[in-house]
Order: sequence, then structure tokens, then C-alpha cells
Amino acid sequence: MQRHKGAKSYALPCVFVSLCLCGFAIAQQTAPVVFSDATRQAGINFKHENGASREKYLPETMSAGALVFDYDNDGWADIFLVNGGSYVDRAAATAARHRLYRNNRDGKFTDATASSGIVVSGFGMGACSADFDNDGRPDLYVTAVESNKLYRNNGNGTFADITAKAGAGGNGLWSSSCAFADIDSDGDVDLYVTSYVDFSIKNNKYCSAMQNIRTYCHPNVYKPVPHILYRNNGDGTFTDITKEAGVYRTDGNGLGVVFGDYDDDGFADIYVANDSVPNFLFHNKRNGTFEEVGFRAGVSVGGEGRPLAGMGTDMADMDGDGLLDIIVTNLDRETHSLYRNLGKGLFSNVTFESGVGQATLPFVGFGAAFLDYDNDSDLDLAIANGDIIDNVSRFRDNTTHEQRNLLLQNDGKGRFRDVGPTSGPGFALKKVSRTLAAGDLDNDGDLDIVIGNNGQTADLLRNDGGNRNNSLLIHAIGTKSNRDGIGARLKLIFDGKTLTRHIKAGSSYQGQNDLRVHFGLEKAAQADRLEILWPSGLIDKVEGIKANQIIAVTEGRGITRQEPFQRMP
Amino acid sequence: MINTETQRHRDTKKAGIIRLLLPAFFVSLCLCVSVLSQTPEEQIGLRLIAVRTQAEAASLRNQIQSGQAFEAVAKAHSIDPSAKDGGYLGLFRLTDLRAELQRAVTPLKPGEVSPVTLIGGEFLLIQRLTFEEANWIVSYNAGLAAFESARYEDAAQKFSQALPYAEKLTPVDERLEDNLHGLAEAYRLQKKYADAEPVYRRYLVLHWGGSAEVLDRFSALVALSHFQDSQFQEARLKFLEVVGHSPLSEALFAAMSSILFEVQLVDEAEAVAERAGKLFPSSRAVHFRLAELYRRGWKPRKALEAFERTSRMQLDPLQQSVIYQKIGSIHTEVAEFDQAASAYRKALEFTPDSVDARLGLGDVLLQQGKPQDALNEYNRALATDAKSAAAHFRVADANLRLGRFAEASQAAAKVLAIEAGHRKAHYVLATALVRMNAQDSERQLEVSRKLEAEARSETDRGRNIVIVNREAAAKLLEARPEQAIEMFVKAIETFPDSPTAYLNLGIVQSKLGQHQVAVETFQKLLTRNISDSFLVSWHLAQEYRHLGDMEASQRHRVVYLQNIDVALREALESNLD
Repeated sequence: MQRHKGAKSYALPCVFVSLCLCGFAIAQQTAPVVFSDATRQAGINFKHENGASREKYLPETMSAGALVFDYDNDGWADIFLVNGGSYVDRAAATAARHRLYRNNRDGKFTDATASSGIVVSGFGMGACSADFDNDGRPDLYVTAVESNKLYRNNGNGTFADITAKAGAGGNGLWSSSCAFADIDSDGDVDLYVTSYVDFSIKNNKYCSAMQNIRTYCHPNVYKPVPHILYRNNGDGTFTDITKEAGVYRTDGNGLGVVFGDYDDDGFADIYVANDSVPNFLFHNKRNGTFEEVGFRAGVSVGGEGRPLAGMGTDMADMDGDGLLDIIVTNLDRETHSLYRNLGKGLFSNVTFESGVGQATLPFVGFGAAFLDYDNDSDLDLAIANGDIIDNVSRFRDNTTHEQRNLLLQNDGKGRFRDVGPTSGPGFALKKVSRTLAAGDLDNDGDLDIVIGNNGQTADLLRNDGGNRNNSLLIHAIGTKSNRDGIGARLKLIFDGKTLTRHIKAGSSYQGQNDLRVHFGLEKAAQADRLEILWPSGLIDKVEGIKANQIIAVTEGRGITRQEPFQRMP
Repeated sequence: MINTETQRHRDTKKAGIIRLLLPAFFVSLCLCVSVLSQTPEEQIGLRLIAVRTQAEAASLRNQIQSGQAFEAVAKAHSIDPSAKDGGYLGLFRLTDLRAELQRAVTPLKPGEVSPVTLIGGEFLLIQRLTFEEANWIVSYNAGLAAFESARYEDAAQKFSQALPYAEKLTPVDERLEDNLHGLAEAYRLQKKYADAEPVYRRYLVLHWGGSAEVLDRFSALVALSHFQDSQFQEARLKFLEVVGHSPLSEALFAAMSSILFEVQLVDEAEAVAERAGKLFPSSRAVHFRLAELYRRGWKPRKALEAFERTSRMQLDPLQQSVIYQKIGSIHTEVAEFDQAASAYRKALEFTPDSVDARLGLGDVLLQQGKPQDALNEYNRALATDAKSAAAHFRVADANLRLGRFAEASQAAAKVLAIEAGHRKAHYVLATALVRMNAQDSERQLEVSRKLEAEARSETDRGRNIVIVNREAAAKLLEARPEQAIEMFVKAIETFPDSPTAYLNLGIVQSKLGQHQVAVETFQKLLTRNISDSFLVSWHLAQEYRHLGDMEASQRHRVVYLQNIDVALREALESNLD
């Protein structure tokens, strides 16, 4: 019997269509996530003034802070970019203002600096943000070479400089990064400010590389200056408790800082990346004092016992064991260091075993962030790179001042590989990058990146495709704990996996990520349970949270707001 | 006040003294024949090689006939006590020799080697020295003997007598150099500087090639290395010009580029080494040094090209292995680990027992995140050399990374038994002990911390010395000489045992016409025992000339000539790989 021709012709297209659909599904799963350079499109036209001069003043090469924070509390992350200055060009110095960009919620940003009340003061370095007075509005701390500034958020788009009144202006010495956390569990956030070296115009050194070519100086030609720990007095003022807290040190060229409870005892510890001298790990002794344990813990020096450059840092659970691990960026030929938390206060240097060593060996790293850019539930790494020596090519033939940034994908077991070259134009940029801050700027469920570049325009890298996997964004609101929930530890359970994240205000290098906590959920349609261990000690548990939304969880009350992700046209 | 001349005479590290003490041409007392006082024409000089078999003697004779030096063959093979002196026996009248020897020697013309002769159960080769060589040896050895006894006038006389003979010797080799050097030193130690200087210059030209001008221009450039002013630029141009035209020896190229690199005149060091590469295209040593210079100067790409070029030259297996190890290490530095591993494997093909190559391969594997594979390689290296501290350290480090703390601590302890101050081993040991919760972990942590701090302090000190000097020198460029002087004085106070600040201070004082003060500054380097490098005497010679004290100027010029020879030799030795 002859088969009817019509039947045959119907059968084929169905198979073809289903094959096409399968192919599309496969393509969807395997297509890489790319980062677009959305800077211009977003209206970010900030250019960092580094004041580069023949005298090679060291601050010229060290800054370009960036911060992602929601200053107007509209649920959309805004951007703050720190400007530098100039020691030789007064006009350039005057014109070098920090910039506040308000998120317009449509992929674009508006420069809101003019009305913000934030003015430049000295040579700016970095910034961090927290609601230090628990009034519901995120405040701002800006570090600089000589005078730091504390701005209180007035709630109407403006900030007031309350530095003097608050007593938090620094010590007149060069500050670099800052971070907020509640070190004494009294419900408000305290402040740690790293200090670098005793550079000044008057004692500017003449440093040179081979061939007597003048270059920026190695930090060890200057003396380190003590960092500062401020205790929040709860009344709008701060007290310098550096000495009484046991963190007073005169041997740390501090560049990066991050708070994190590495030993899981409920108290915030402090990790400081010091440049070319051993890094600090201050263990919180739960009595208002700290003990420096870095050398013992195995996180103060490189694998051979030698201190490395130590610029930027972040702390997060990169291998899914619930313990906070540490990344520190260093110079090229040193590798950036990855320390895996072994528990019991000890770390193992897994730089090479993790693949981070091989990927980072040729780069001079600054800002770094653990982030799940592809929403596959494990934490990847993004690193901002750029040489310190602007004329390095003059005497080295294998490195350049401008370098590409790195996107290192985690295989889920703490092994990383460089996927930057296949991650779109955003990671093809070669600039003199310093700060890197991550946040979901378009509220579409995947993490975008802001990069501060020294002496160049800042970059906004928009994540395209990360949200092909599902995710959740958690906005934690403290009531008994500090308002931002800084220091809270979040555990999310889905599909038998437990993900651990903590809220930190200040990390990377001279910058800060979006305070909202991001969890990648792969294809899971919901999270089984979310637990928040607040700094107050209270634990909130929420069950059965649908994926792909932003939820606000208020301490003691559970979910108080929910909103689906935006899908941009 | 220290008599520097006496001190230098005693200083056996000085190449000139070492060369004078070389036993190469000492009189041998064998055969119980002494040097007679008859006229040299009545005497013949003899060398001897004695071996046990005819076959060996015949083979050695062939070697000599093919061009090998009799003395070298004697030193390597002869069983006679004269072997250490290159077989030299002395001067004899024919009639004083045993009959068999007479028969063997009589037919020989000066310079000829006898057939194999069996005497007293040994197979002998006898060379009759030429008239010039015989006479040279007598006079030269007499000069040496006088020099050793500090009879410098006698020594000078004997060396002078020997010189005309040395000038006739062929090939022109270190014999003439030794003679000139001995004579120059004998004059110097008699303070006959006017006589010493031309002899020194002649010796230097002979030994290093080129002209005396080359070394003067070299010294002028090195002296100004901290000052990037017009005088430096002029010195630079003049130096490069003369290098571009002069027939310098390989050794001089190597030594100069090494010193230039040490004073951070890297472009000039490379220019010199590259010029050597053009002049000696087949020289493996020249090309190897050039590649190594690029590597040390942070130019890995150029270094790789240069090493790869060298690898294509005719090399023995050991040399090939070394080259590939260098290639491997550079690839490692630039994170090209696959290429690095391949290079080290290639090195091991040439020298399977090379510990360094095995360790290098292990290091690459470690950086690729394969600690177990790395450990396997390290253990193989240890199987070859169980006393290698480097291998034990790597075993310790790999075990630490693998979480095997007990093994790590044991291996680290082995390192420390070989090298007690091995800083990295102390760190690994401390880390392992902490993780084992061992009793003395805190103490070991403290040791490690202290060592690290000391190392850092040393590095910082070196860096700061360079900076303060450069900073002060920059003030001169800004037309602020008084400030420059102030800063150099402060640098001296801060780093009183570092010669650089003294030298630079003296230069500034000289530039300002303060020559007497400059002399005092340079003299401090000598009187305070800080440095007696060639630069010190170079500067003193210049300053005394400015002051019109020609005698002192000449005195220091002669010392400078002696010292620059020493400096070049030391640079060459440290350069050898």
C-alpha cells in the first residue's frame, strides 16, 4: 500500500520543528553570558581625573572608586563614582567632582551630582555606603588622600556633609578603602577605613625603574600609616577606637578591606589587604577588641611566605561549604591569591589549585568581586586589572598599562577558568581599571558591573544572558539589627543545595557592591527556604520563594515586599 | 691609615695577585738538574710528558701535532711530577742529560716534539723549547720569585728582561699578558706610576681587546649612571660610539654589559651585548648572555627569541638542556604553562638526570594546579640528588598544598637541615605545624615571621638607597646643587656603608668645581673601608688632575687600571652560567 504523500509531508515539518526547538533550548543553555559595554547608552559620561604629572605623585595612579547603592530608596541601584584630582593643575583639580548617577529605571542614568550636595574634597579615593543612623536612608563615606567625608542622606536627593560633627574625617592621612559593619552587635554600623602611606607633596620621592626612567613609587619607600576603626556612637557621631580595639598597626599599607565572619561565630571580623607587606586578619574577640591572626591563619602572605602586593579583596563562600573564603588581588607575576577557608580559623592557599593563579599571573589586579554572573548558583570572580606604572611598556615587553579585566567562571567546586574572552565586549575592554562593583542595575535578575578606571571613563557592563537562569534578589531590612542588615548571613536552599551569602558594605577596591543579596538558582523555579541570621542573633526563615523576583525581608517580619524582575526591551 | 697598596698586595682576591701566584711557570726541580748560570744559548729548555703505555703516548703525540698545546696535554695526562707545570723541566746543557734523553733530544729543533721514547719503563714525549720560550720562562719565573719575596725592583728587572722574549712567543697568549701584568704591578708597588701606567694600558688592551679609550669611556659612563644630565648623555654617546668601532673581545663585551646592567643602564647593556652578537655570530656564549640579559631586564619576548636562536646553534646536550630550561622558565613567568612544560621536557631529553629541569617541570605542573603530578616530579629529582635543598623544599610545598601536613613538615625539616636559613622552608614548616596543631607551631611561626621581616627590610633598604641617590641626583638636574649635596650628605648618614652616595656626592662637588672637597669625599671610601672599586680611583685620578697634583693623579690612575681589570674579571665570573 502506498503511503499518502500528505501524511509524509506533515510528519517532516513536525520533526524539523521539534529539532529546531531542541536546538534552541540547547543553544539557550550553552550560549555564553555576555557583558555589553552599556556606558554610553546608560548616559554615564564620567571621566576620572588622575592628575597624571611628571612628578609621579603616587595618588595619581591609585584611585577610581565606584559604588553601587540605592540612595533614593526606589528599589533601583544607583551609582556613585569617586573622582581624583590634580596636584599640578588647579583648574583640573577644581573640576574633578565625584559623580552621583540616579537610576532612571529604563537602562539610563541621570547625573544628579549638582543637586546632591556632594562636593569634591582633596584627591578622592574610594567610597562605601550604609545607613549609619538607621533612618532608612543610605549614607555615604568618601575617602581621600587628606580629608575623608561623611555624608548623611537627607532623603530628598541631597546629602549633608556631617564629617566634622560626626568626628569621622580621618586622620589627615591617605585613606583608601572603607567598609561598614556592626562590630559590637549594638544595632548600628561601625566603620573601618584603611590608610595607605605617608605620602605628601613635600616628601614625594623620586623613584625610577631600569634606565633611570622615573616611575610611580613602590609604597615601601614611604612609611605606612595607621588605619582607623570608628565606633558608631548611635547619636550621629563616631569615636576612633583603633587603639582600644586592638587594631592599631603602623605596619600596614592598607588598600582594601572587607568585613566578614570567617569563623562563623556571629561576630564580624576584618580582612585588610596591605600593599607589599603582610595582610591583616583581625579576629573579633566578641568583647570589643580584635586580635590580628593573619599569619597564623595563612592569609597574610603568598604561598612562599612572602608578602604580595595586596590591593583589592572580597570574602565569600566560593566552594559552597558555608565558610567564607578570601580573594586578594596582587601584582603581575605574583598572581592574585585565593585562600580557602578550612574552618577552625585556618585557610589554605589554593591559588594555583583553583586555576586563579594561572589566569591572573600576567595581570595587575585591583577591584575584585565574587558574583554569580551566570546564575548557576556558584560564585564566580570578576577582577579589575590595570598596571600601576603608566610607562611600563618602556622597559618591559610583555605587559601594558591598560589591561583587560577578568571574568573567572566557577565550575561549582572552586575551580575557575578565564571566560572573559568569550564574554562579550565588556570584558574585551583594555583599560587602567581600579574599582569593580557589582549589582543588578536593571533589576532583570542578573548582576551587572561598574568599573572605575584611573584617568579614564568609567564603564558600565550590562549582563546580557545571565538571567537565562533563574535567580532571586534579597533586600534585607534590619529592625533590631542595623537597617541595611549588614553582617547578616543568608542561607538559601533549593534543589538540595545550600547557598551561603552575607551582606557586606564595602569590599573590592575602594568600592562597594549593591547591598541586595543575589542568588543564582539555575533552572529552579523556586527556593525551598531562605534563612537569615541577623547580626542581632534573630533568625528569619521563609519557605517556598518563587524565583525571579526581588524580595524585601524585614527582620522579624519576613517578606514585606515582592516584585518581579524587569525584562528590558 | 691603611696602606691600601699593601692591603691590595695582600688581598688575594685581586686578580692581579692571583695571576702572579699562578704556578704555571714555576721552575720544576725534577731530574735533579738546576738552572745553571751559563749563557742561555748553551742551554736548552725541555718539557716532558710521561705515560705508561705506548699507545697513549702515541695518541697524545697526535693531539699535540694536531695543535693542542703541549703544556695542556701534559697537565691532563702526564704522570711525571712536572705535569702540574705543564711538563716543564727547566734549562739544561745537553751534556748534563742522561744518554737516552740526549739521544732523544739532540735531533730536535726548537719547538719540536720527540717521537715516543721508552726510558725507565715510562713512555716519554719530550719537547724542546724555543730559545725565546726558554729564556722567557727563566726570566719570568725569576721575576715571580722576586715578587713573592716583595723584592719589587728585582721583580721589575726580571719581568723587563722577560718581556722581549714574551713578545716573540706564539701564539700571543696569556704569557705576554702575565708578563706585562707582573711588570706593571712591580712598578706600581715601587710607586713608579709613570712606568706602571703604560704597561698597564698595554696589558689591558691585550687582555680585553679594543683600546684604553674604551675602558675610560666605559668608566666615565658608569660613574655618571645616576645623573641623567648632558654630561651623562655625552658620555653615553662617546661610549657607544667607541664600542661600535672597536675590536673588543667577547669577554670585555660580556663584562661591560654585566656591569652596565648592575647600575641599571639597561639600554646600554643591551646595546653592548647586541653589538657582541653581531661581531660574534657563532658564539654560543655571546648569544646566551644576550638572551639572559633580556630575561633579567624583564623582556621575556626578546629573551625567548634569543634563547630559541641559541638553541639552534651547535650545542652539547648539557648546553641544550640549560637553554631549554631557560625557555621553560620564561614561559612559566608569562603564564604559558603548556609551552613551559614542553620546554622542560625537552631539556630532560637532553639531560634526563637534571635536577633543575625536573624541578622546573614540577613547578609548571604545580602552577597548573596539579600538585600531585608536581610532587611526582620533585620526588624524581630527589631520587637523583637526595641532598638537594631545592627539591626537598618543593616536596614540602607540594605536600602542604595537598593537605599532607606531616609530610610537609618532615620535608621542610630536611631543607632546614641542609640550609638552616631557608626562609621559604621555615614558612612551610610553620604553616604545616599550625595545621597539625603541633606544640612548637607558635615558635616556628615567629621564626618565619622574623625571617620574612628581615628579608623585606633588606629589600627595602636596597630600594631606598637607589631612591635617595636618584632623588638627590635629580636636584642637580633642577639646578639645585646645594640641595643635591644636602641630600647626598643625608643619604650618607642614613646609609653609611653604601658607597653610592659618597660617589655621587663627590661627583656633584666636582661638577661644582669643589675638587678638594671631592677628593676628601672619595678618599673617605678608602679610609673608611667602604669601597675601593675602580670608580673610586677613577674619580680620584680626575680630581687630582683638576687640582694639578699630577703625581697623585697618576698614582690613582694606575690603581684605577688595576681595579678595573679586577672589576671586569669579577663581572665576567659572575656572568658565567
